[in-house]
Amino acid sequence: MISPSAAPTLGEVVGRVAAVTSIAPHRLVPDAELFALVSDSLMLVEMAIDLQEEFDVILVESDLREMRTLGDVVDVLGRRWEEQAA
Amino acid sequence: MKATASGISENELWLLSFYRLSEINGALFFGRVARTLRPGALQADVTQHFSDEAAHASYWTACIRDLGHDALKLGGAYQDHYLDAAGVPANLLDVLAVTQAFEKRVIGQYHRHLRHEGTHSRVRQTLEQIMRDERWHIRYVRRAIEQMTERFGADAVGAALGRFAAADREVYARHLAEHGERMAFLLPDGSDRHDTHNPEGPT
Repeated sequence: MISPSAAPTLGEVVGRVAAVTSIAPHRLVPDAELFALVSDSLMLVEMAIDLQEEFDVILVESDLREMRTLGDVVDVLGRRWEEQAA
Repeated sequence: MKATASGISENELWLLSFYRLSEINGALFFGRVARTLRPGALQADVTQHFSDEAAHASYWTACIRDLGHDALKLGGAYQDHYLDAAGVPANLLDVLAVTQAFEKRVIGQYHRHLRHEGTHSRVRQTLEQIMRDERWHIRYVRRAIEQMTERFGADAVGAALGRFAAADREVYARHLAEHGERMAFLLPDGSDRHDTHNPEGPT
């Protein structure tokens, strides 16, 4: 687990998404569509739990709906991290 | 209802194959969750759960083969309907809440099958073997949910349990509408209770 001393960066998120999806990190750009990266709902669940366990944040259902691109994932994780670290 | 050569009906063969598929899908789900979890007790429990579900799929496969059949190749996954009904589990609490709803449904279904007087002894043995694990699944999930109350808050825990319990009722109703005829033999007045079973097992 990454020490949650700061909000997750794009590089850190890319590292985790690459580990879950087995997609090469260079293809994981901020505007990559999330549903093009995950093959099914189970992989989406796996990715969501993995990110929360890694970065010590809690996501809710509306957060997942908001995440359309990898950049959105970083934004939502960052926002939740700031809220929950406060 | 037409019976197969071994004495189990075509519907029971379908149902045992359905149980097998559900266990396989459970293993795939818990395998994914297990590899995301931080080191600790929940990681160990979910990993055991993953292993149990895979073993249960193997038990059903063996049971079906001992009865002289091969498991039917069935499509779809019962668990996927939970995602349709309640949305994708967004966090660990959601995962545990959907697990609790599903495990209760499974153990209820296996109890019903066990109570059916025409259940073949080989099927009965498999049900009893699996239900020992299922009872533990319910216990560890309940304990894990209780431990999450501090992190998520009581309101969020109650909401998650309510959301997935409602989804479970919806999914089961949909399942009965689609496949109820296959399971009617388990009802007390099941119309296709056949007379060809051999409660002592295959000879």
